[in-house]
Amino acid sequence: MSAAPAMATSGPGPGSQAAALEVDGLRVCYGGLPAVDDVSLRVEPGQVAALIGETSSGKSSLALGVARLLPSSAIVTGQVEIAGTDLAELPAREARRRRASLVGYIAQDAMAALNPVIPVGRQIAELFGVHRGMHRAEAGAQAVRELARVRIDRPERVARAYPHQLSGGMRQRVMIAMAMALSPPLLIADEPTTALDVSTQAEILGLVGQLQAETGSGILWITHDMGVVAELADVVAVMYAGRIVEQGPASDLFDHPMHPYTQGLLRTRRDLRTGRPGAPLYQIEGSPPALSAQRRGCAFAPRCARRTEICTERVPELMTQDQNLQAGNGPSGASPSRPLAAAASAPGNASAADPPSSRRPLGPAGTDLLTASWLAACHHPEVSS
Amino acid sequence: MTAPAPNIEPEVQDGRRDAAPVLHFESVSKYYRGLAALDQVTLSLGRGRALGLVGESGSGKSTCVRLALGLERPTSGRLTFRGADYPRSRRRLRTLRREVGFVLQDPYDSLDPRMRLREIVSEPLRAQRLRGRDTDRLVAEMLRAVGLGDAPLDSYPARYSGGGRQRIAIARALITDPAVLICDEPTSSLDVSVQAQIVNLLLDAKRSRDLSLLFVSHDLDLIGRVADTLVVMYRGRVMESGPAELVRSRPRHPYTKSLHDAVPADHPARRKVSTPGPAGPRESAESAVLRESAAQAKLAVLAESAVLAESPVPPGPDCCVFASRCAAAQARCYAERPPTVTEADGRSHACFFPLAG
Repeated sequence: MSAAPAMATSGPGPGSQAAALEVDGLRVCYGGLPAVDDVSLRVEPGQVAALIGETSSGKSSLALGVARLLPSSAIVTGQVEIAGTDLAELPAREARRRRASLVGYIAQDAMAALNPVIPVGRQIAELFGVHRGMHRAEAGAQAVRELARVRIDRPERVARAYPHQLSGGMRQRVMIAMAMALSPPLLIADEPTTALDVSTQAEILGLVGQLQAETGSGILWITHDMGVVAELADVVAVMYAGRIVEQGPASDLFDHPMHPYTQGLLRTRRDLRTGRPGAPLYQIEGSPPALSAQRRGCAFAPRCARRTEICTERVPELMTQDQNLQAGNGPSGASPSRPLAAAASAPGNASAADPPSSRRPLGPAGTDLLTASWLAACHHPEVSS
Repeated sequence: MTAPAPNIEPEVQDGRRDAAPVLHFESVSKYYRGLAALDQVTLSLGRGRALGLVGESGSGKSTCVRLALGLERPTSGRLTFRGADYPRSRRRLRTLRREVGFVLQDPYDSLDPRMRLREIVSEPLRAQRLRGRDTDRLVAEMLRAVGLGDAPLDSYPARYSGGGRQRIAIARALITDPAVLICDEPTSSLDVSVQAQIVNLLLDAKRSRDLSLLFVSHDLDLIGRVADTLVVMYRGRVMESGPAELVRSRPRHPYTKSLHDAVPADHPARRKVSTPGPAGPRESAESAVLRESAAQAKLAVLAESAVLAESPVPPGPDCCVFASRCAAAQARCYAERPPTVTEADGRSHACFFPLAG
């Protein structure tokens, strides 16, 4: 990837009532092996949806699949709409042109994503030249303004620099400037802070928070770090072995995770913070599974303490857990839900102040998209605190 | 874990452990092309203890590791192992390496994909010319100790996940029964759900083998959990050190505090950084370049690549290197180097205006 697929013709204008991103039944296969298996999710404008997962969970394949950036060897099925547009329905050339204005992509490795032999200012200016028909000088000036927008000091100088002359944090800012240059309705951030120092990470997270408040883009933020999720996300989807195993409003999910995997991740984190130095850490046994064609039952079952016979036989469906949550425990109230009702809460809707018991029960599953719906794919969901 | 023939002589009695460190840096500096990667660093690893080195890119953590492994020699200062200077001769250095095992960050890089487990794990023995008839037995024993009891000795590393590979690397590090194990970011390339397993394995080895750990990480939470003593480094200097719990909970140096503050929140209700405000943190081009190019450009390239920094002040001897990023900095911080002050509770810091702690 050279001059980053990032850009948009117009901001979230009047026509953007649609979700920033709506994914329905997405499947990504490499050589017959499903890396992403029937994933549905929705990101509202102005919302940060975090997708958390580890190696081979399929989170990056999902991101690339959504942006239609995967090589042709990957088989992508299912429906993806970005601000109401399905890129797959457009002819390749048209799709390429439109993608630029629909989705900004912030990669983990900015050094690899930026063109090493072109000054960063020109790389940004190129976007305005190609997609806005600006002249060279005009586009260059716009590029400098974009650099200033991501809080870079003396943007004129940075614009003339080559990527290798910038620090990691600066390069990541340049990537963000590029991704947001054309104000796309959707931003996909694929672990953009993983390679950075904590203080630089904190700066980048703060920056993205501010920019998003300014632009109102929807953000799909991919990460393996629960801390980044806590800092940024309105809603969270936890992925494991190609599927979403739990999703819901960020605060609630941190307070009362239901899937044993989510619980394990959060407990690992809590233990790191609060455990006594030198004492053994809480650990999840086993390791994430590799891609495999034939999978029986729940992918997490081999590592799960709550495993029973059914877990190894049937893949658990993603079900709404709101009733379950109210009942306090037990799988009794779970009912299948339409996946598109997924984790859709208005930004800020997910407030830690709401005690879970006072939560509005979900009507007929999926009817109210603004209800913070809570889903988990587990045969034995249990509320933990 | 069962230890093969322990060869660590109990030279010091338990009560005097800290008095006679296994590994000791005394005012060690290391310069690369005139730039200080380490600047008068003093640190001490006691027997059976865990010393945590924490800092960001370019802080000098990895230089400490290279010196401790005997891969490089300090420009000035003294480096001792069990009270004796690091040897100069290659032969004696090799003998010393028997006592210093290491586990590196990326198990995908550090294991040769063309070697079988048997060869990988027994490689230190071969290097030390200790390979005997029962090598296979020893290798199997080490693999069992790291939880890979049923791994075939003739398998290749490709067969194992990141966590599995890191276990193999630990088995390799422990096979000569070293006194010190140097862990350079041993879990940062692993999956979150696997990290704790590896840390527990290291803690377990530390306990059962009376091993001393030099644990290097940028993750303050993790390192505060593993180490007894923390050393916080910034641009080649020690900013603060002391008992891990104190340094973690009540930092004295503003840099340590800023590291703390940068660690993401543990709950969305307690966000630290991403509350949208009118004015954002502005990273000055100078500080960014200085901070990170040190690591990326391996310090030396700093001068050439500093297109953005008009005055890329190389860490001077006469100021606090953190001053330019410090909210509490005053004129004195730019004019003098803060001396290291040791306090009654065992902590020390190099700051003119320490926090209340």
